[in-house]
Amino acid sequence: MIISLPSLYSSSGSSPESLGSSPKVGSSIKKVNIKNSKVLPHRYPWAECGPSPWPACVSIMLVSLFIHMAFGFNCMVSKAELWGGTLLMLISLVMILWAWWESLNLECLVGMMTGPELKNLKTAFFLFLWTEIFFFVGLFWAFFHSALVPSDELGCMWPPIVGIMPLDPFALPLVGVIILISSGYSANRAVKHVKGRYPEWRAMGTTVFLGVLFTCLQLYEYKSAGFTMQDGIYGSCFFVITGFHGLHVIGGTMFNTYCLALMLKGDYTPSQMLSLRCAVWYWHFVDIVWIVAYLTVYVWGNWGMYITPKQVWDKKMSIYEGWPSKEDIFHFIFI
Amino acid sequence: MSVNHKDIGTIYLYMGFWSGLIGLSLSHCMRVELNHPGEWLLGGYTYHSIMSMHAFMMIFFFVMPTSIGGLGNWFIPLMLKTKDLAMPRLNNLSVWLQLGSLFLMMMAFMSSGGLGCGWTMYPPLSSIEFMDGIPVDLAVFSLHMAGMSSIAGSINFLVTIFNMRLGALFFMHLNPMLIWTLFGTSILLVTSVPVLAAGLTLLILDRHFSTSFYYPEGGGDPILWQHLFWFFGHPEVYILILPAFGVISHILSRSSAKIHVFGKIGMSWASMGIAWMGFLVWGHHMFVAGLDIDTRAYFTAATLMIAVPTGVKVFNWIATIYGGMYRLKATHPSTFWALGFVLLFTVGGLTGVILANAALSTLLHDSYYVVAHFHYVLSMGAVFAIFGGFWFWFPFWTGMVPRKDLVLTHFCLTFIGVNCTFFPMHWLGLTGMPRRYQDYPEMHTAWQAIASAGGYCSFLAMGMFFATIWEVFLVERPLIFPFFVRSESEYYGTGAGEGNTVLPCGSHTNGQLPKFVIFKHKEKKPYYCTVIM
Repeated sequence: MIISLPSLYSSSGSSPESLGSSPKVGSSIKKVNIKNSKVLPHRYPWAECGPSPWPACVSIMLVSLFIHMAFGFNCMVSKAELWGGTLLMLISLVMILWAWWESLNLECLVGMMTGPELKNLKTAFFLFLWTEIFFFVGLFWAFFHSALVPSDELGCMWPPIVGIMPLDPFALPLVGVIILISSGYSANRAVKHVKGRYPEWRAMGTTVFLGVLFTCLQLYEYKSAGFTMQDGIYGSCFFVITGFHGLHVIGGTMFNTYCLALMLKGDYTPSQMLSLRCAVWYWHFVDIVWIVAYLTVYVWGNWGMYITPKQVWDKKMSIYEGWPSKEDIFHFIFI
Repeated sequence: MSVNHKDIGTIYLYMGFWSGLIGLSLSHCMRVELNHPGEWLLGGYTYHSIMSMHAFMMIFFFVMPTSIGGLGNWFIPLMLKTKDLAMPRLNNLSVWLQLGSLFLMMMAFMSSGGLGCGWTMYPPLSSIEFMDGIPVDLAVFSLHMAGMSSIAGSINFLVTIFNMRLGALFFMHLNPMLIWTLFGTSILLVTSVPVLAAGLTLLILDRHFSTSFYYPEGGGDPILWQHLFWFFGHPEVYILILPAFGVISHILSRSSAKIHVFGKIGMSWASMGIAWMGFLVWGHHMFVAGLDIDTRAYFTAATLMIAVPTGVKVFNWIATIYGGMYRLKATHPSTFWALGFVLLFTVGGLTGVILANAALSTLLHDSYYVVAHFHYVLSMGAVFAIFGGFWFWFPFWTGMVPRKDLVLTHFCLTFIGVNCTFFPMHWLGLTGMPRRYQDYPEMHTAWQAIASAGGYCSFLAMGMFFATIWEVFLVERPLIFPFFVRSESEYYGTGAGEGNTVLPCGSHTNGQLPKFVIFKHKEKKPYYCTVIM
């Protein structure tokens, strides 16, 4: 790929000197010969970067976005301006982050992604996942605060005694669980393919496809749900948890798509595949959050308020006028 | 734009001190208003706004940027003998996000009469019915940005501390106390800030999207906000004080001419203990919120338990002081700040132990006793440590030495000022003066007047600080003999070969990895020493 961004490093066009390195440290530096690139300091195994405009751009963009949302939410601008402007600003933010990501790619190309640096990035990613986990802990706290001891206004019941027709957890949501678990499995296979140097992209493609499928499923469920976010605490908790989860699914799918594109280009080698592994870890995190959300919000939350499999079975078996009922079978076998 | 950790640390220090001045001015506005009973200078809403802004400025834009951003950025790479933090660009993002957050908060303050809901922003006061308009939204978004900045910075610190320790091979050999305390602070930040973010998001949704998280009519609960906020809020106050603990350990060990603080491993464990237990005690901010009696009993017990490691630290500092020679004329100015810290933080901690009891807290909640407690631990704990650390490391940063009498004058004026301001608040609280009130019965006039006099003294003290800074940059008195005794691992390796042979600290240090040299006696365990080649 032709890099046409200006060099972020020294402007002198010195050719890289030989990368002599002590055997214990820095030995995994790839010797890359790129014109006009600064020589890498071989005694420091972590990446170094020069001044970068992207952090300032991100911050300015975020300030603009937040001011825009503050004014917009308080109805000081038209709705079209609010949502259109927010969309434009989010796209600009994505572009700035893309430019930042490009500098990381540049650093990889000049060989700065040594083993120690990759370990740093891996640790950083796990810490980022930790913060995401605790964000969802806050949201689930809101759910349990409201659902463990339902307030009087709800009729001391969860789901609330009136107004909410809970979704059946053994219908679409269960399909969602199966989709996400399968996509987790295919993501793992994709990582194995790259590690084993197979030129096989279909596992990652499956992951992306299943992610998109899950999003479509959830959108359909949102449209067909009998309640909205405005319907009391039940609706609020439900849509906030599933909504933020959906945003994370969309973000994770974008990450997966990007990694799929890199895989198709052939940019991954077994030693330089951290972005793929991060995407897969993120996808596992999204999967686990969905399973927790499913078990708590859908299954536990709606317990007893939907038709259960046992009721379905009993209804089915009732056409046989009582024989052989489960008691009869039990008697036959054991007595 | 710079990705150099020293530049970024300096930016944080500038930003922190500027915000601290704003916070101090706001507090002086309050003290002038409270000089007389009755509403005579400021309207009620304005007073509330000033009070809320004072808290936001001091907590999020003074103490945190200075102690975590400033000292953390400067010293984590130096003390770990590495060149820079793990992700320098992310470091830059942290400081820019913090600047953006400061901008949003100033906007919140300047618009629509300001932010009159307190820094704790409890609904329903912060809900749309009672505070519509942009100030609360801007403050919430400002906290989102500050939270992102803190998370990015903490991730950076944690990755550096986990992976880039070149001065000590094993984790337990993290000798510099500042590293240990910043490690604890970073863990607190990455765990508690996302919960705040969740609570803030729910508040925004409640305000503008008709959700019912905090509305009882919809089945929600304002107490949910209190839980989410204080689950962040209590670790937040430990975040404010833990770096200060590290600074004090450094100052006291140096001024006692000891290699390290007394019982350094106990101090490390105590810091970790405070950090860990800080997650388990948030309910002591909610003793009158209607919690169950058993819940209150648990939180009382857990809060009392945190006094144990804190006490360990105080006793260890006293033991560090023991055996050191303290002569008035030969004492470094930062030592005064550190000694003041040990005394006054202990006082504040003791009032905290009193407030930890749910039964007493029922009477003292939201009274001036609480104000006295946290100002003792913050305004005389964290701030003393910031000033002490500032003067302790000032020659390291600039190579210049201030006039000792000016620094000591600043210290004395501050000491008198803050004690005059906050000690009477104990009595005010015990006799029933409520918090966040602008008007009070005339029986409180005497102590309020003394408190305001202390405020004026602090104002003079800040003028003294300006004079000191002005004088030192005017005269540029160079430091020839560093005061510091070389210690076990605190070489802050700046030059090739040895420790700080040359001050001020250069822009780019530790350019190369040190070579490890292993000394091994035949039968004994090998011990490691690092030599910078």
